[in-house]
Amino acid sequence: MTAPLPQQRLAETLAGEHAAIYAYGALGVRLPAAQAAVARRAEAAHRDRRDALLLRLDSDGGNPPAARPAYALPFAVADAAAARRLAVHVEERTAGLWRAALGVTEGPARQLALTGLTESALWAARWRRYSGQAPSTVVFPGRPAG
Amino acid sequence: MSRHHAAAPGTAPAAARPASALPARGAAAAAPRASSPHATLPPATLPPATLPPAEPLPAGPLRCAALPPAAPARTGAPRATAPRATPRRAVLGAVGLAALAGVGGCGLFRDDPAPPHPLAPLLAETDALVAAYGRTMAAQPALAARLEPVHAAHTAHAAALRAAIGAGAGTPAPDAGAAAPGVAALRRAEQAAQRAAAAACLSADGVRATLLGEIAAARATHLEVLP
Repeated sequence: MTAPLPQQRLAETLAGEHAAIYAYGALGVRLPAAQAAVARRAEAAHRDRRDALLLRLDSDGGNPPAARPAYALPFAVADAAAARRLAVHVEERTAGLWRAALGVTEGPARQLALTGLTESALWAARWRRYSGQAPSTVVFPGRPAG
Repeated sequence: MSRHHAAAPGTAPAAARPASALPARGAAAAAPRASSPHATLPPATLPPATLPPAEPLPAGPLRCAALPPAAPARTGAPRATAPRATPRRAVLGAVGLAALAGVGGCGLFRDDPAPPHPLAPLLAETDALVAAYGRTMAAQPALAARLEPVHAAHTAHAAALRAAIGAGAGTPAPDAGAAAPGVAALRRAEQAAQRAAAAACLSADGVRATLLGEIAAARATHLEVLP
């Protein structure tokens, strides 16, 4: 039996949060100390979102996906610049997942999705700023390109 | 669209590829991790604020060209056998009901504009932000480069809201002569607008919730760009 659409979307988002937490572990060690501290705060934010998602999916009788032991990173993280680039990539991807959950949820689940989208947008903007990208903001956070 | 493409070439768009779809590599690839203290984050979603109240329906004249004059109904022959008051009241009441029902296909509110769209207050607030940023950029050229992306975002949001509202979306009010707000005032306006967009997102239907969530998230990022 297929889960209803809101649970499906939230489960996909949870899988993305698992991957984001993994990615921050991999990229944080490549950053200078000050930015590594920022990465730990971002990772903590993703853990909070993950926990909130787990609670939500449990209460909805969903079947939340478990974290995998490891995830393939989209590119090698050889230095600090690549680490920041990966952080931007991770935040843009989770923003997209949360955004996709907005339109199919309502009530507390939509509030969760809005918080997730907003936080990922904020972290993406911060990592763009640390990367020297200007502007650091995007017009429609989470919206797929094109 | 002025969206940034920060991802490396060859990576899939964010929403298109859930992370779990990625093949897992060996667990040995995992780097040892420091414990992550749950630092407090700035609240991303602020307590929902009430939207500015919708404008009341203009009290237009209830004109109806096809409505027959009430006078002829009263000029009927007096009835000698019945008490006078009741038939007259009945006739007048019938005329009144006919007017309400729309005699001759003339609707009661035919001459009135449609009620405001639910997104109209948000559009008006967005137009006001566009104008406010524009004035500040003109008055403080040193800030223009920093504020321009935010100004452009609000302009794009206003266009998207206009498209969502469709026909009947208002045009921005001219603001000639208005004073340029300082950065603190811009920040307050941006905060209020962020709360308004978040509240609108939470109460909107599915299609609009996505756009309103994008706008709310964008405004949260604007607050970090402001000097």
